[in-house]
Amino acid sequence: MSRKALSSEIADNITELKKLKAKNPGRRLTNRLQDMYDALHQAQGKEWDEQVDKYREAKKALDKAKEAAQLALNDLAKTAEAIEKSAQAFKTVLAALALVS
Amino acid sequence: MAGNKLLIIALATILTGCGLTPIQKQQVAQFASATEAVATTTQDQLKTTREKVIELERRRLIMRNENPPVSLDLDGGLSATGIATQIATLKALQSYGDVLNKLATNDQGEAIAKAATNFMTQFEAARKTQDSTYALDDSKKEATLGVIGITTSWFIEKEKKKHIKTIVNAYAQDVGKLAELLKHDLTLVEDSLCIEEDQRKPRTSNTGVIDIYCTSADAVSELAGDFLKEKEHSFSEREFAYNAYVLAQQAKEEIRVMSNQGANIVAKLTAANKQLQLAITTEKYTADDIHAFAQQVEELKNHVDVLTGNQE
Repeated sequence: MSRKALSSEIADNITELKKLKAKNPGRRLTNRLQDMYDALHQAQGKEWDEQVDKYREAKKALDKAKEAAQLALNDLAKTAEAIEKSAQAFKTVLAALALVS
Repeated sequence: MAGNKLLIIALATILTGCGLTPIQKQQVAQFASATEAVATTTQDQLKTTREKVIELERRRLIMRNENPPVSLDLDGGLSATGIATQIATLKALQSYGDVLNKLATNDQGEAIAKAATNFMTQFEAARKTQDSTYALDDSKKEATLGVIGITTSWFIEKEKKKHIKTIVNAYAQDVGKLAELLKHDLTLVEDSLCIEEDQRKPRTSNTGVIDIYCTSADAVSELAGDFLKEKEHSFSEREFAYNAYVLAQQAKEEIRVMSNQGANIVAKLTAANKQLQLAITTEKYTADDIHAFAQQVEELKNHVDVLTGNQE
């Protein structure tokens, strides 16, 4: 079982503090609650930063994927050029054309 | 005659059964469309969400006059560089889908037609060096072009499929991982403060952009609400707090809608990615595929009959 995220713990505390504030409204609890939101933002910011690192990895992979697709597209154009330049790509067609008389 | 038929069977065996089927092309197009949809909508969303967080945090900071925060972190941890990284990744996803689709739909038809004409001219010229009177009549010219056109198209399709299969299989997992990351950013965590308490569940996903937006909206909503309950503030202060409260409520509503939409858009990308990999690795042919192929073979047979003089 994985450990609960810090942001999850803080969010739970915020929920409890909100209930407490509803029973005992006042500046002290309002300020305390806002401090908790600051702490939540901090924790979330750190957790999100870890996500961003994973995005960097994903970008590298996708750049490679795009490059591979682009190379294949270029290769296809080269195939057409090869067809244009020689009968090499027509190996199978030549057999048919040999019947032309 | 028998050789003629064998030739066609041989051609068909060598060159077909390997090209992209219409369904496979359709799956590539669907994948490209899903990558475009997720990339364009999400890029804008990420950018504007950060701006909205900054606006909410600005208002929260002003209302915390008596008890200012320890640090002035106006973007709630959503750094501009982090958002830029996410946007760049989405652009890379979109580009990949786009190039893959170009590869699948590229028919090289013009190049094939030009090559066929050149080849026929050269063939005729070569025969003329042996027999100056040799000439291909119009029907044979047409038949030659037909044979070259069909067989080279098969050849090109075979090449395309070979490439696409390799690329899709190599990168499907990476696209799947990105879809998971996007899910974290576009949908609320299960125990979010923006979800009614009795509907919250134990968290299985990670913190994302939308959760940080939720924190700002919830914080401003609470603070402005408390502020409006206090008597000592001036009209203009109360008006500022009221506007902040309304903005926070609108943001919370927007977050709920965004989270649902985000779940849908990520589900579409995930499904398109899985379906593409499945379609591209499955060698199943539909009745339409077989029918289209049979028509091409028949066409090829007619052309070869013209060339060999075996017409009925």
